[in-house]
Amino acid sequence: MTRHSMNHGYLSIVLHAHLPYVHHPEYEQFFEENWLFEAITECYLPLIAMLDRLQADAVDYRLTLSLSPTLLTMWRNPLLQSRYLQHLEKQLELAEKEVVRTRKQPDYLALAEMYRQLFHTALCTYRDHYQCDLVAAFVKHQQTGKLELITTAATHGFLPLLRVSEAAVRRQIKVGLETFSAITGLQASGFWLPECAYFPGLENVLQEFGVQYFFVDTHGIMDAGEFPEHAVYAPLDCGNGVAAFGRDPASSRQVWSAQEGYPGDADYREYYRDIGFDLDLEYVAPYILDGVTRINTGIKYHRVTGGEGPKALYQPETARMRVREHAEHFVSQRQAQIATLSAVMSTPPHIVAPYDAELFGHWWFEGPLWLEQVLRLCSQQPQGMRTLSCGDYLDLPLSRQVAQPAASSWGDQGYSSYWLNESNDWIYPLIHKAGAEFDKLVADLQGLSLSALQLRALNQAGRSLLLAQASDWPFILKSGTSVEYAKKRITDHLARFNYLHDAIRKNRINERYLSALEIMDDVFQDVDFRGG
Amino acid sequence: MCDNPHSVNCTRLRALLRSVPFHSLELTQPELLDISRWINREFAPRFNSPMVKHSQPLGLAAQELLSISSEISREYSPLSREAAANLVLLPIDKQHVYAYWRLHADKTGMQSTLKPAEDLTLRIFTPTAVPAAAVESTAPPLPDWYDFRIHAGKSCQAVALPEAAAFSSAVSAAIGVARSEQEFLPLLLSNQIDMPMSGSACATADPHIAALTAAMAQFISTGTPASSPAGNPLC
Repeated sequence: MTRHSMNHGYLSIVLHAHLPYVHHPEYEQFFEENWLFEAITECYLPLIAMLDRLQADAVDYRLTLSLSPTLLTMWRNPLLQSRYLQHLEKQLELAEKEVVRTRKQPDYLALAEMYRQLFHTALCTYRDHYQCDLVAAFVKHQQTGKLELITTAATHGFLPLLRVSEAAVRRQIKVGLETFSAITGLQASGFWLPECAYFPGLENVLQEFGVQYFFVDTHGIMDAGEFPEHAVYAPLDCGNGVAAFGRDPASSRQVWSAQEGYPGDADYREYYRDIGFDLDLEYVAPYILDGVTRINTGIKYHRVTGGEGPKALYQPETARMRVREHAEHFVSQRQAQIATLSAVMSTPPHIVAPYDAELFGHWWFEGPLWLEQVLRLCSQQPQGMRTLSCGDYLDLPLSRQVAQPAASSWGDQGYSSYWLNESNDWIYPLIHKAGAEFDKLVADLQGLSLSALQLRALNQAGRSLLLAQASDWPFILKSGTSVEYAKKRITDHLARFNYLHDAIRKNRINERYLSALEIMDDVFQDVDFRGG
Repeated sequence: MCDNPHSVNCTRLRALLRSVPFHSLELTQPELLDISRWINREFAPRFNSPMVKHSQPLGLAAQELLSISSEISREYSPLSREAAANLVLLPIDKQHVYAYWRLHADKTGMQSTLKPAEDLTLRIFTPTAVPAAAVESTAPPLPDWYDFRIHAGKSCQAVALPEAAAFSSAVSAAIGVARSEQEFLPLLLSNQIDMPMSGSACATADPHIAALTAAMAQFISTGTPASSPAGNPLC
């Protein structure tokens, strides 16, 4: 082996942003829509603010961000935009109340003022600066060449479990890519496999739709058909030119691990203590569910603290110091890793560190600041480690080993067990059956001239099917939170599919009913499902 | 500056620019206002979505949507619909597969071959390329299939494969009746699935990791979290 002489390498940080499609115009307000609203305030806006600061300071960083089609669709949905503004205005109102309530408690007051400022800034950024268009905010940074936007499957379906129908897998990928293009105006060269779930042969479908690379978990590379000469520190060519990048376990552990991970530090903000649960019901009633059911409000005054005792008060300045320490630690660890690896590798080592975007800011309040520090520190290394997007990496004149990755996912036990177990196995016969019926319907209609109404019904049936296939529903059924909602979503979407399927087969399409379904499941509007 | 040569404002502006030296332009207040409005209109930053209104008009009232949704959910429930006869195999992890099936007695006559209270057999086929290390060992040859007894009334089952089947990269299944060691009457055949080659990432005993240089192995073999909090943390 020719050793790579220069002591340098690359770091690709990849964030995957996804939420299931939750949109309920049939209700005045709907609790699960808060998933999106919380994430906008706590994660997406802070990430945009981070990118804006990096740009303002001319920091030479590279970052890859996967935006799921359902998330992009929700960001663009006028009703959800409007409801988010209402949500944010309520948060700001509560923070104002908190400033008054805590006026004689200086430590709490400082935190209440921090939240008031945070919500006010979020409102100004979202409503005034970006005119409620988060897509435009991220696309702006893609156009600088420093942020690479990629996407994932249409509704984040767990592809190995949909593979009973090859058409179902193709549809998830095709609709995902088409929706991303329609909304962002970009072509995604990279593809985030939902839950990093890969099966051999998937690369052929990805290639068909112009995808150049995807990600797998560590064992997807380590157990590849051919022994991976560089482990996960160089991508594999799957044999058709599509590259598979493997997750670096060391980088993951430092962020994800419950024991060693940075987010669990005692000085960071505690997620599970929220005034929605801590204060008098009467006081928080206007800001919780139906005035009676306690929920998170986003105002949290405590830090992780550690141990069994009471939680101590959050101290932002101490947390910021810890952020700097953790960023320096992360960067120094990666530099040491690259120094070690480059001594034995024939190409510059490439570390791929993928994370769920919603970790940053939502679960880990200080996460966006940490990420910003990491990117700033990396940009200050004239030699040694550089951040790079995976698309940029593939442009480097480096040869790649040809091997097919192994079936794998980043879930528990390495594959499907979290999405297929006694809590959620009942869904698969149902979604497979609907998938087969849809495939047959599309085939039967092939070559026939459809009326506008029939085409609308067919496309809506395709949307219903895709929405039922989301990996989020079996995940929620297993995790045990919001179980009834997940059950209802699956059965509702399949019922809507059944209704539309029958209506098309019998040529009895009720336009009023069809319109109602189009309004409620307002996704993938530009996709023509006639091709399957 | 202006793509539309027929625009009145545009023509006027061009005429103005042509007719006088730039430094001596004198514009009236209405002209300034006119130009300002035109530039605002034509060159305002473009956002891809319309400005948000607080109340979005819907084609149907919320109550109507809810009523239609409830009716469809009630009348077209997927749980009450018949499925075709089939056997589907799904991968769980290296050692486990999941099978579900549906047999139709009347339409296909398949179940008529069953004797009363006779159990079914789920046969998992494991054609495999056995690694060299296993071939060279003195162990007896691996069987091509494994049988699992299942009760006739069941319609799904998670199956733990024997350790010997761990080398199988792809498996398939049949469901049927095994009346003797040699006699297996298949009723349904399944799809073929790819199996993960390792159930837990980065186990230190992994021979692949052992083959890496020590420099690489130290970053791999220390293990990753069993999983990321896969799925969405908000849910």
